[in-house]
Amino acid sequence: MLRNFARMMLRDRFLGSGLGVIWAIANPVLMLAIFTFVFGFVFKAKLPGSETSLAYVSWLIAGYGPWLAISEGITAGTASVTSNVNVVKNIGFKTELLPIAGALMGLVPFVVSFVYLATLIGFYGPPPRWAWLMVVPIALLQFLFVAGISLTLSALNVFVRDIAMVLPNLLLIAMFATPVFYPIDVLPSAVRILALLNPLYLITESFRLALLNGSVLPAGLFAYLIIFCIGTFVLGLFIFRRIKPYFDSRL
Amino acid sequence: MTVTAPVQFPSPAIEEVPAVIECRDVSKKFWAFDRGDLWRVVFGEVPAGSAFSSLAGVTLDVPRGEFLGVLGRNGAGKSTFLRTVGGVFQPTEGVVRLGAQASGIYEFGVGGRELMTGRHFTMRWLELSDVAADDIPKAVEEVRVFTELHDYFERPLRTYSTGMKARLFFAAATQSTAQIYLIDEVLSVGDDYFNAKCLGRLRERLSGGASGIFATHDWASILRVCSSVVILDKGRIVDCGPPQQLVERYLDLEGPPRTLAAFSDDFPQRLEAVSGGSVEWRIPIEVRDNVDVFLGFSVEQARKGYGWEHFIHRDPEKVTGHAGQYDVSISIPRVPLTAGEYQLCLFLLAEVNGVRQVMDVRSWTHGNPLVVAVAASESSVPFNMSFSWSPVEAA
Repeated sequence: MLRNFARMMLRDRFLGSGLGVIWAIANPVLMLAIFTFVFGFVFKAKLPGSETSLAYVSWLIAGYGPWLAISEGITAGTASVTSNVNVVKNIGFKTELLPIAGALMGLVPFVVSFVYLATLIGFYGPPPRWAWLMVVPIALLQFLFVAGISLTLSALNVFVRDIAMVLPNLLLIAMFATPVFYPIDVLPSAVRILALLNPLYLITESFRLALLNGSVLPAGLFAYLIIFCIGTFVLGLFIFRRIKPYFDSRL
Repeated sequence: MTVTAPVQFPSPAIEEVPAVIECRDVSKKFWAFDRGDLWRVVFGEVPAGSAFSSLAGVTLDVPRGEFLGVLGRNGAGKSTFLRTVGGVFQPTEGVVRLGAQASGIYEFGVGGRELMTGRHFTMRWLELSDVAADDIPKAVEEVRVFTELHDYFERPLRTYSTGMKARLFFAAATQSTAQIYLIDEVLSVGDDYFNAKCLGRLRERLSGGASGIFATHDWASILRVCSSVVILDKGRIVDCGPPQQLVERYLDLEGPPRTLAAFSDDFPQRLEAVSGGSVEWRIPIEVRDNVDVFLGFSVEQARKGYGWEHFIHRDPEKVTGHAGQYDVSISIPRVPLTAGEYQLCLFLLAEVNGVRQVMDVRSWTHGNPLVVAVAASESSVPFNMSFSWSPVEAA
């Protein structure tokens, strides 16, 4: 059932376009290609202590990819209930599935950027490592986190539609507040503690560590991330179920 | 209309049949939801804003293999009721229990985006109805054949007419093997041909043991499909009973004038006959003025899933021209009816200034037809239609 909903959302999003679902893959690929071109060939940006700009590009994408996945998942998840009114009002099912399916949407850019990055690294970097498999648990944590946020926001959005409107701006702010485009060392040490507790940073950083360094987060931070993501999911589910009986008052 | 609410349905006599749909004191409220209410709800409180009560204390059972009709004017709560039974709405109070999987047809265009093709829509519907992936191709093909949309099946929904959408929709929704159908006002859109086809399918599902609820203000289709009816008004059941009687009360027909002529009060309630035998029924009438009075009659039968059929029909004929008490006799030498219950409808007319006016009526539209019980003949079949057949060689 969840798979059916995810498929439904994916198809709806690209309904009527010539290439259809191919866009789900083409869009992030194009986005990442633009980043590669701009930072790798136009600006020739370099990380401190490294001589190729490809290293910077792959570092950037290793963080930006999961970020793309998070923002895509949250956007799709938040709109999931209100944009599928037809389904909600006509089929008796567990509505929780909608934001969860929305969160699954985020896994598409996640996988795409992983493949893109693996290809990029394949050209210049070390051969694939076992640590790359860490991507799987990270994807799961990311999914739980995004699903939790989506559950909360999608339910609130039924009553306060402004949430979906303001969301893109909030995501942009969150992106710049999170060390995605810049290394965390740039931040003053007081703010750095805060950034370390930011789950968005921890998710993107885990991805970076796994792919670029073949390492993982310190155990403490990793445990914190696991608890945080599960907690977000449980809380989201709780809030959704509280509001759900009243959906029909507004849909 | 007499209001006795809430009414228990069905009558206790039928209650031994296990109910497939059970509603106990079902209420549904919709809240206006002021901003503060959202936080109240998140913290587990009840909204404080004003509420609209769409259903109030609905209690009923639908036995397996029966269709219940729900009549009511716009805004009476019919759609809310169906959605609540189907699990789309959660009842504010009360319990709904379903004994089987339900398929609901509440409105057109479920999950249908206008850019989808008919095929695509059908697949989506079947997927969302939890049809196993392996069965979908076959089911889609059956839907395609049933809708008779031909090439349009592969075209986007935006090119469809309303009737075509209705076809697609009905076909997809009744394709699943659900045992409960909840149908809201669907048959009112298609053309006669397709409506007949839809009724045919419902009949098929009925004889396959399916049950359901059928909400409409089209009383004629209720008569064709349902074995009992409830009338909803302002979210309450205000009346219930067999369809013929209820439809009349629902229509709130004006009674006949009974001024110049009328059926007498000492009227028989039930007449009897034997299939193929001869019968004579005496109809007492009272003529109150010296006018020409005419009597017409018909023998009809309402059959679940088929509608009602005329078996015998006689145009009004003059019975008298003077005031007085009369017994009009109707005699049928060889009753051309098989065993079963029929209804005798009688129409009494008087001619005033050259125009015939209805004076008194006993018919199902007025909820008071006479019951005619026809018993099976002991000796033989009442009528034989001789026929012969022989196989035709294939060319």
